[in-house]
Amino acid sequence: MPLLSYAGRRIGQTLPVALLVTVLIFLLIKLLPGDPAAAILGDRASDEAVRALHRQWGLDRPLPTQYGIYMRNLVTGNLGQSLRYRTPVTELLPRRTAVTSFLVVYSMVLSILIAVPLAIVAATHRGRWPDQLVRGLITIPLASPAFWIGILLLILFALELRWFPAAGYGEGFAGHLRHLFLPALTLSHAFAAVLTRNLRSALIDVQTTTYVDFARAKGLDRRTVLFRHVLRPALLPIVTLVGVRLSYAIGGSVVIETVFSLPGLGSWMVESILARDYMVVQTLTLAFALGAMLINLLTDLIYPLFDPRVRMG
Amino acid sequence: MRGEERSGSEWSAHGRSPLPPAAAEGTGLTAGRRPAESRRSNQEGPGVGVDPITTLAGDVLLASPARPRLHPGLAAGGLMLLALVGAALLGPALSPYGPNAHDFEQILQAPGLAHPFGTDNFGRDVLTRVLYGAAIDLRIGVLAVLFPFLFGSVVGAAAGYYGGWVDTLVMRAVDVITAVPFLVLVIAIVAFLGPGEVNIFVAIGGVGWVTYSRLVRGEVLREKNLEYVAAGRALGFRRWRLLLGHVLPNAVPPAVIFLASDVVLVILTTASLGFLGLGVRPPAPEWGMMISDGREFLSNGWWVATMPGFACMYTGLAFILLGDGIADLLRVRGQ
Repeated sequence: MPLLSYAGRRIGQTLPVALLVTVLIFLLIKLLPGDPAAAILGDRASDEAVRALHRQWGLDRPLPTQYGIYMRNLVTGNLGQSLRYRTPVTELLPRRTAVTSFLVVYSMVLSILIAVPLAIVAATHRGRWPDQLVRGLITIPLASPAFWIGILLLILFALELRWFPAAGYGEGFAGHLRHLFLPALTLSHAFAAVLTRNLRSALIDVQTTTYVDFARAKGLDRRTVLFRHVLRPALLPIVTLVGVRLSYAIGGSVVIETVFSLPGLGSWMVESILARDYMVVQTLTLAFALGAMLINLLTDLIYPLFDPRVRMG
Repeated sequence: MRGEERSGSEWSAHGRSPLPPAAAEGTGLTAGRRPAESRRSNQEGPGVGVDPITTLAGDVLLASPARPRLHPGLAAGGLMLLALVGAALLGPALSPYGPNAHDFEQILQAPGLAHPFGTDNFGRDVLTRVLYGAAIDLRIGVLAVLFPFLFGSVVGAAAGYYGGWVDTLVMRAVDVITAVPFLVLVIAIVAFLGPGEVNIFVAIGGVGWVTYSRLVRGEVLREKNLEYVAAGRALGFRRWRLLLGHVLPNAVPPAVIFLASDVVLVILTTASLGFLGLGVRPPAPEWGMMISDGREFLSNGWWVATMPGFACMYTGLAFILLGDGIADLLRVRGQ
């Protein structure tokens, strides 16, 4: 069955890359000037402690052995201890991941909600002032730093108008929605801009196809033509774009979480860097990478379900 | 939606080039190698023979891109940039304040005649600091893209031209680096190397070259099947001479187009690093750091955090317009 073989091929392509990614991230810690164990334990660590850490990580052994130890730890779920919180990483991971995931998904949804109407307006009024306005609006988020837009939103909506809370994650689903609205909006602005642009283009392309001409010739009114025939194929690339853009959304979440003081993976990474908790930094980088790869893979696997032409390829 | 007719495998980490939001696609500046991200021009239809890429400036400001007059987007972007560079170079001389001149009698003054951008919590004039910061961010933005551009283009060209193990090696490296979200990897590298301008260059350079590689490799793959390459080989040209002297110049335009928006991305990344405290060392008035410092005073001194951001946005717009202009120009010439 072509679909299964396609899925198999995609997974087969991803696994070696995932393995190489672990190597890359393992090597990151070698960038530390000086002794990593001393750097992590700090200036006041005893020689005993430093030596013990050396033994534990096999720092006196050759590089491939160190990598072997690293991978063994990874696979057995021994992700180390957070120096700052004095708890195993595996305990802190779920809650933090939940926050970041909520944020990223929320922002994707908001992007789509913003982009689709804008793209429709721009495409249906192509060349006239609504189109120009939308296209002008798009460029602004792309030129601006996300965290600055976050701060602007914070000042305006949280501090001045007090419509939304300024920080934190909130309790319960509704609480999350309210607390994460501004951060998700901030995170979504870049993707919304790109999505609007691409959707607008796709809509325009579809509008000039023969089957749409035929629908109009049949006598269907504009709205029916729009929603039943034009919109659906034009929306397909959203699936792919989400996969592509997700990487940047994840990266952006690191900064946004800091702006809005959200207890997610990104802010944890920044805290760990500032606290010189390097093992956690390494683990989180790996988590981000594997998470991004997983979502890309899922997007690739989902896409053929929407577009039958792909399955045969 | 002809641009989207690709098998799903094109969307894998192998075939796709995930561009940063503020970069090429964000402004419609895409190369022909990334069909899903490119858009068809809706002006003259697909019959023109080039890969029509619509840009903001091209469609909004220009009635027909084929007319050979001064491109308004290019002019606007160029002027903005000129003003910025002028401000960065001359501003420090014109300003009566120093960037680090504390004045504790003028703490957190709102924008006014004496201080058009207000003052911060040390009484330092924000406008002066923004002008000094322009020099920093411009310098990093321009310099930090040079290595990725040069290294990435050459490596990508070699990979596409020679194929074989060179290609496999390069593309594996590209895949691995692309797998990690850009900002996360840059932050991680800077985390381990330590803060400072040099380390920013290393981090961005080490990660940013992959996009150029992909772009140029795609172009070279296309070019090497053209007749002039076969003719050159028949004439006895050495392969590397053909590559460097003939194929590479033809393959480079998409990379040049991406360069303009890459500058925007690098500036934003530098600002992000500065914001997180991982960037240029204080008390250098880097914009991201200024925004971060201003976070403490959002309720009683909003200008400290917002003014540098406007500067960032202005700079970004300038480069985006410039890049769109260059893209339109290169397109009109039939590249």
